[in-house]
Amino acid sequence: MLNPRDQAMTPPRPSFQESDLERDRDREPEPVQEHRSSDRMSMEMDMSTTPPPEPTRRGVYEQQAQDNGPPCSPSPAWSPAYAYEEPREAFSIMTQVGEGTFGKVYKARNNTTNAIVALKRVRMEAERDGFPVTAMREIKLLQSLRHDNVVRLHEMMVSNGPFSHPCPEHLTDS
Amino acid sequence: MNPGAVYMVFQYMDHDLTGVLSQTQFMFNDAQLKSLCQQMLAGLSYLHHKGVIHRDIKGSNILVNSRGELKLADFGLARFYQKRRQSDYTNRVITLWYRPPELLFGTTVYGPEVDMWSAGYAILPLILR
Repeated sequence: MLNPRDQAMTPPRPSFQESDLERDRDREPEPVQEHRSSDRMSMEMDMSTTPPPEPTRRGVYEQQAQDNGPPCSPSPAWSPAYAYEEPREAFSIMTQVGEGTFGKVYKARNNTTNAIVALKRVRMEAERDGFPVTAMREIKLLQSLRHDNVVRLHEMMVSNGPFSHPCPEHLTDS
Repeated sequence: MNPGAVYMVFQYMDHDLTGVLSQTQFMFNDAQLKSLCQQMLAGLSYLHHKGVIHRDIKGSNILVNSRGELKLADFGLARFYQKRRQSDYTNRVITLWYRPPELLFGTTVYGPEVDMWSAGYAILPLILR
């Protein structure tokens, strides 16, 4: 999750259409149609874990941010309770344990609770249009599932420079 | 960790079924096998009840831990399906060995039953071992 300092500088989110989620994209990504900034849609998702666009695209988004006026100020709804006064690594990666359909999986330790978790990295290198639709679908699916015999998605996390900021569980819990 | 990388955080599970099968020192008695099958089918039944087809059931996506708990993982190919009507989905899903014949023959109209074929293939080596 972003801290307020970062949020102030966050460029507009990549546009995203619900219909993209329904499309059967599967293993081979199809090109997603580029939308101009004028017909951008706000993301109608029930979670606030949208990552910043990858660095290679940042220049483009900054340009659009200027076109749309000054960058927005931190959301008032954002709770400062999760702000880390002294940011530190939230997780330490121990080993790579496998490779999922869409990214590598690591065994890691939560530095606050010492719990061992699996971190599945969302592969974004090949994506030209921001956060991959396939990963968005996987997250949305997982959010709706809660069963003893189905893996549970605890939270989403964005690593931010040398530090990583965890996102509170209530954002991913449905 | 790379800056800006996005991670999903899951509960950690020590083993997957494929790994367990390749280790000859793990032996299961009938009760344990029954429990593993029951848990896997309970998970699948829940998914289908929620309108989700997993579409990649296989040994390496079935996680187990030392307490004998089993969890279905990797929803990278999963999707919601239409329960009321037949619908067109891609047939390029499910790892080849676990793929049901109708998908091999190229059907695009299918439902949760494709997971059941894969589930059978996942369970079989446990029992035949």
